[in-house]
Amino acid sequence: MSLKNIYRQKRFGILVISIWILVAILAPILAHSPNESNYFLPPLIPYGEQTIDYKNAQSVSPFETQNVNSLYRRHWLGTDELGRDVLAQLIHGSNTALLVGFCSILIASFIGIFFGLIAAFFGDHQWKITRGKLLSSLLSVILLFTFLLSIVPWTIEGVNTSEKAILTVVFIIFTLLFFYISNFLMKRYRSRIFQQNILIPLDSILSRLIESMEALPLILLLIAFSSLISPSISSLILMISLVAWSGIAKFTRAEVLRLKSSNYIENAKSLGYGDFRTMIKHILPNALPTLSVSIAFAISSAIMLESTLSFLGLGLQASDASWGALMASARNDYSSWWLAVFPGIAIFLVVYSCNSIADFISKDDHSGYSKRT
Amino acid sequence: MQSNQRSFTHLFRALLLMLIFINLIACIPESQDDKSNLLNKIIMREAADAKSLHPLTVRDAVGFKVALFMYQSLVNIDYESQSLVGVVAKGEPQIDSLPKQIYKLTYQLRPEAQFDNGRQIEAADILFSLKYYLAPFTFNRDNRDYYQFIDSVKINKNNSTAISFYTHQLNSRTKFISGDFFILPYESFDPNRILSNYSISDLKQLVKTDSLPNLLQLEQHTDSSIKNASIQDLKGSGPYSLLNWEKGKRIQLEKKSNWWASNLNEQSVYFQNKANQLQIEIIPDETTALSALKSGDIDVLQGLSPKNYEKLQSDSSRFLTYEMEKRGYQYIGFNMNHPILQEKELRKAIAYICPLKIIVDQVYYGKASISSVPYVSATTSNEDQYAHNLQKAKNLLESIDWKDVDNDGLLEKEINGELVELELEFLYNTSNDSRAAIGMILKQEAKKVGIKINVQSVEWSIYLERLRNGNTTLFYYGAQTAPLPPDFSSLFHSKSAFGGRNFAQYQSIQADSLIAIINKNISVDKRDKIVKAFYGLIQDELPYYFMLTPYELIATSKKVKGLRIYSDRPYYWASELYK
Amino acid sequence: MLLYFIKRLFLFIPTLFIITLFVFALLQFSGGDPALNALERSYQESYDISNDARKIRAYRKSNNLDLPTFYFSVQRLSSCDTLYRFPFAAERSRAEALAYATGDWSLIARLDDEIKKRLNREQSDTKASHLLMEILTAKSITQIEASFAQLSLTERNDGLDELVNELNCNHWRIKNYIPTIRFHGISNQYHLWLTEILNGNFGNSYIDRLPVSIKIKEALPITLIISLCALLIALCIAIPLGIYAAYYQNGWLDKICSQLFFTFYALPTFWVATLLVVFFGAGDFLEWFPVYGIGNPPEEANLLEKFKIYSAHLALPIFCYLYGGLAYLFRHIRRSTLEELKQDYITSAMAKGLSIHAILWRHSFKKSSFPLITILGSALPALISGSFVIEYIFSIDGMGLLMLEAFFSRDYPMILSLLLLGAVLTLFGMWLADLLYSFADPRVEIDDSKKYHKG
Repeated sequence: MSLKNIYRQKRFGILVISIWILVAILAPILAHSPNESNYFLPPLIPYGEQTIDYKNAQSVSPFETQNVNSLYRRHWLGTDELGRDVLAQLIHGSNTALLVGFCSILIASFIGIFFGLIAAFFGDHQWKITRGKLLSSLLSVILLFTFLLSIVPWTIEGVNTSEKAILTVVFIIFTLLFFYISNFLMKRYRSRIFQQNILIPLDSILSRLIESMEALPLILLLIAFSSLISPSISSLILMISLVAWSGIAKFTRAEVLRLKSSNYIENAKSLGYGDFRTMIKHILPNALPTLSVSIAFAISSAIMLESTLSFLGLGLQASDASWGALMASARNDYSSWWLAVFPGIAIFLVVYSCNSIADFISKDDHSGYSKRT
Repeated sequence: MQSNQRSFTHLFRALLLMLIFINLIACIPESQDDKSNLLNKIIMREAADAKSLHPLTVRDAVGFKVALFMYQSLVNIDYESQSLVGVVAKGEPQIDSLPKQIYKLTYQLRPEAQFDNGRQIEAADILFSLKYYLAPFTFNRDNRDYYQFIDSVKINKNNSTAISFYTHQLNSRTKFISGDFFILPYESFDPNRILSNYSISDLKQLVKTDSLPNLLQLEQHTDSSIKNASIQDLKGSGPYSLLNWEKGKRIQLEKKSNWWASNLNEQSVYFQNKANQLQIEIIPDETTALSALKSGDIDVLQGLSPKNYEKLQSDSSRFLTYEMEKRGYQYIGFNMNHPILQEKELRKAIAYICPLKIIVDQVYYGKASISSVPYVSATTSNEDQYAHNLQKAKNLLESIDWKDVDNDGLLEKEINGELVELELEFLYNTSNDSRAAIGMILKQEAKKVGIKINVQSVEWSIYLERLRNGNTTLFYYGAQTAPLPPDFSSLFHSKSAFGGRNFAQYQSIQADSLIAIINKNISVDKRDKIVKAFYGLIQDELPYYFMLTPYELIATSKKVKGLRIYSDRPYYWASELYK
Repeated sequence: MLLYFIKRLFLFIPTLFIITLFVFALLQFSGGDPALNALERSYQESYDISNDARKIRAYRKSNNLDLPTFYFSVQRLSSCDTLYRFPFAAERSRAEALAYATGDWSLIARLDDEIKKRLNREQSDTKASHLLMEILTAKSITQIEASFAQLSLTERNDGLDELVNELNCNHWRIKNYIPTIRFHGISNQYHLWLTEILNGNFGNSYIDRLPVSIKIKEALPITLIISLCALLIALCIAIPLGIYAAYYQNGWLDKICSQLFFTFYALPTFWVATLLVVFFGAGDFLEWFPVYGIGNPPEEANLLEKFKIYSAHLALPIFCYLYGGLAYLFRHIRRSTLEELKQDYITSAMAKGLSIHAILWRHSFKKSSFPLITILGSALPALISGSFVIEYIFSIDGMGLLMLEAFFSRDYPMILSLLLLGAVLTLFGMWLADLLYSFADPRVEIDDSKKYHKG
């Protein structure tokens, strides 16, 4: 009985997610204004997400009589304050939610899992590199940062993008050359000093880095970011991934620390498996179930964060449709329930599906305890 | 079985606790509703706290509003007649022209004017107040700049109710601003009478107080009084005294029992004090404020958005609503340094694209008036010169060679050898829904003629910086103006272009010379003629497309009587209200 | 073990140092000018157009904003070395653009000096002065040359034409690609700020010139009360429900709680807060709770009445604060209790005849509360940062509003102090959480140095 439930949940979850992705990809075709774009198929909803219907502005309810010519042009879910169709905004908003929720957390997970894994696995006392390599890599990183931050003219007016791109590429190549040449030189001359191994306390450094990232408030990072890059979907994705990776890294690190002391890992070590192989083939798959729950939570938080950012004014532009923006506009206008209920249902469904899939992956013991005795 | 029972009992215990808790809360003592009726107290809502109530540093809107009830100045503008009315002074100053381009402004004080302690306000007090405003404190720089046009002050020893200011800069605004500083009692602000040792010219010449120990002491005393927000030091001659100031929560003012002007028969707002207590509650969110009005926690709600105003208007059994056109302007600005916007035909085309009537009806619910000039007066015409007309826009664009070369729906043109697409950015500040709506409407209409507009919002600090930096294309901005003679220099003069408030970077020698003439102290008729010519120039060159001014919308509970709504800040006078 | 934690305590100082450096850098990048914000906040219009520039310069000088940011800066060899002295962002971007375009700032500096000298000699409002102003505000070499070409011949001589011609002489502009370190010495913003902090002076807020410490002291108590109450109530609700839901897995309690808390989680705070205010506070529907604020009890009220008034006002904000976190806590407790219940010692305890309550609370809760420690540790900075949304909607002046207002008006002293406070609490919270965790669960090896010592 209970197992069936989980499978039912998982199937429902996968269904919702696939509908979501499908709608997001097909959004421009599903809902666009027929006289503005030239797709060969007539749209399902004859309104784009920015099409303003002057005759139905000021939040028309889905149930009252609307000032439209035909049933095809009816606003099935009502309109918002400006006169934009809510259904069209929901469809195009799934695009935004997919990008902002999914992609940003995907990027954040890659970064976070990587750092958490190596921090916990290598700990403070395992990673050794030669002094020479340490010196040359530090120097080349400093050189790269100096070049990229101070010499490449990012913010200067009147410099075209090709010049910036060429300079960046040239400097990256220059830094790589420097790295290899310095390595080579250190191997040839005074090799004994430079070949000594040093212990790098990787765990401490990464933990301090993660702590510092957590210590910075989200709003400061968002404000700084939004003034460097004008707010848009891609800048929001970048921001959220830069902020979310530290939480995922902390979780991964805790999980891997717990798993590291289990028997099969020690067996793998004694068998002589290399570090990376142990990490990726043995630890990671066992850490993923617990991680998937926190990743699912992170995806949900990212989508909710977007609506809070719209409320604060740091979110997407007015011309980008998103569920969060609809809910934020619904706040002032609480009598227009359709502005909040439909995006709310959409957000709820997506969040619920992510979490039920994560539940399924996490391999909960579904047989229950109280039935056992 | 036993375990199930136990869990149920635990659950029920928890639920019971929660119910008790809620009951405790729900039986709160009855609110201040009844109390405010008894006391004839008017409760108003403001969205932000006053930053300072000290006369030297009061700057923001809320602080100024409260300060107008606490302190008085020599003269002030009467909101109904738009002319000067004497508050502490009897009336307008008498302006005499002396040789060598020196002007003398003489004020006659009201003999009945007194401070709280019964002491009559004399010319010496006016002199002290002016010295206080000119004192060389580090935080006093703005006041010193503002009043630096006063060269010297003379008091007649035989006549303590007259005072004369001497200045060599006389322009159309001088008589308005020479008497608008607050008159302060030295007992509260300079008890040791340190400033009496210095003359006006001494104070104007000093840059800092470091070298003079007693001035430094006064500066420190004033600074700490500002920083501690100590209420007892803030005394003036106005109708109300400051009872209580809980920072971030509320400000309470109480009517003075024996105020000197209560027997005066003047009808000007500056002599009213009908309510016994005035209370300002600080509620940042408008929806919460609306709920507070409905539950009776506040009496007066101003600055409503049109949609909420309509909701309250329809509930006329409980609320009274007032609306009035504000004095100010809102415009779409064009950055004249932008390569695309340099031709005035393009700017006019964008003005023709903008559907003002639709914007007023939809975005402002009709609660805005179309005004095509920044300073409206009786003689200026108020019609929209560029009424919505897509065909005219298309003709204008064609006349300056914008054509759709590649048939993608977007116009292109060759500028400096490159094929440039007609793509513009519309900038506004975040969290402003009406400006976002205007941008979206403009975007949709522009698409119909082949212009692509990117609606972009940035946060307030970046918005200010980009406006001043000239890093804009199209931008939306608005401001309130004062009921003074018009001053076009900040908007249109070339000196305000780079880094000033001339955000359009408009530089025209003709405009500069017209502005110089308008600012002189000429008669009202002459000025109106020149202003008309100036407006003709502006509307042809169109550095800004002035669109509309929204209405001020106020709603009060039915118990509040006597509210009159005006076009200028503070839009209504709480001292006129009573229950 | 203890040594490891003491070592970490000592690492606080360099970590804090690096965080402050990073925050300073971030503030520089954020753009926005506090002087401009202060100017906009003032109320008076005046005729004197040059007032704006003068006011901004004076403001920057009195707040030390016209000093360089750090002890040294890494720049291009061709860039302007006194960029921090320009009050307007427009002037700064012009300086940068022209320095890059010509390959040498000194050319532009000399040109500007010459033009300023001429402007002082000229009368204002002539064509020549307009053109000279245009050169002074031009952002590219072509604009300079265009304005220069319009000058009459008499105005062009005396070295001005040589200076303008020199602008184009650098073809390769090598100086653009060579980095250089410029040292600014001790008089820089960071050093001044650091010395003030070490003396205990946190500066005055730019918004209303009040001392930062006083503003924080006034806003902190109410935020702490709301967060602590919300945390306690959330724990009281989530822990018992989580434990019993795990015991009766897939029973009605489990299902209802999971779904309910999940639904709560999916509702955004600002929306729920507004709905609560409208439905439970305003006059249209129910008037159970007060609408806004934290209450204004009269002076004479006794403690019970004060408590009643405050709790009535704070009930809705506290609820908004806690309902979102319930899902997270509930899930964690449930999961860890499930894990614990699978262990053998539970079965042996049951066999011994212990009641299920004793088992759940006395044995399994102790073990399953470990994740709670980590959660509480990371919740420490959130306690003082409050929630801006709740404070805005319920009109409570706490730390959330303070922080947001500081960020949006670029109130540097306040931002830096708040960040320092937050950073200290975060580091301390993590340290404390790790310490308690290691005491609670001796199996976890946080410090594994002993393992790798070569014997």
